[in-house]
Amino acid sequence: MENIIQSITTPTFQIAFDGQTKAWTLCLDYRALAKIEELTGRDLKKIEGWKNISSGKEFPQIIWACLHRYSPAVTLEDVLDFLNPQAQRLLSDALFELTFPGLVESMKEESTSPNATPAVTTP
Amino acid sequence: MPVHDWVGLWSVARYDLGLTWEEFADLTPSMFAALCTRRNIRMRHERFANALTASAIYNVHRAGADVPMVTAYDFVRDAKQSEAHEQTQILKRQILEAVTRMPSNTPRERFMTIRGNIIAELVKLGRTDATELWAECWPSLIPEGE
Repeated sequence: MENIIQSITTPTFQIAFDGQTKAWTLCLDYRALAKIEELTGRDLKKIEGWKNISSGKEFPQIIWACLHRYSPAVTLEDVLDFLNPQAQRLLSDALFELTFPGLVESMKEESTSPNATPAVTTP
Repeated sequence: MPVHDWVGLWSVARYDLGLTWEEFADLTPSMFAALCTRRNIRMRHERFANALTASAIYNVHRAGADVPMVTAYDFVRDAKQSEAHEQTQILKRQILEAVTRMPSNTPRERFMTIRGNIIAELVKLGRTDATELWAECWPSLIPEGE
């Protein structure tokens, strides 16, 4: 008998729905980031790329790209059927945290610290 | 992690981390950053190992007993120094960007105003090396006589 031991270290999260009987696994890896760049023109590798993501067109495409690895059968239409604008903020925050772990936390700390890193503003 | 463009990421993944394209594509940015952190720790260890030799050679070739000895740690940045170095690099990048984003026909006087504003802002934020930082980034954009 063959025993398979699999270790998954890739950060992912799941969207459960239909009374928890179905779930999609999202993963924002570099393949997904490239796909998002191709679909929306947004560079989510950079923090500024996360600003003002439109809920109607761009966000479903982002979610769809994140599903490519673990839930490849899901279509963009499926995503559009499932997503609602209320879920966007929650999902967007979760994806941002996956991409920049701890950043929101440290930005909050930094903004209240007297030794905050100075940022040179545009003259 | 200093690189954000695809070519920069690929080169770090390929050259520094020895990853294939497939392995790189399967990483998330947080995993990539974690690998980069490991690489930095390895580099620090290697630097320390080399510093052991360098400090030993220096110490046995001192001009006299009154010349202070050095240790391997004198060649390696600690966490605080690394953080300060990184912050300086961030500021330098911001200074570089402040000038490069201006149109090519921007008059020199405008650049001098930008220089003054940035230095004043950095001084206000507690940097005592603001003028030097600017000079390192833009040695050609310094007022005459300075």
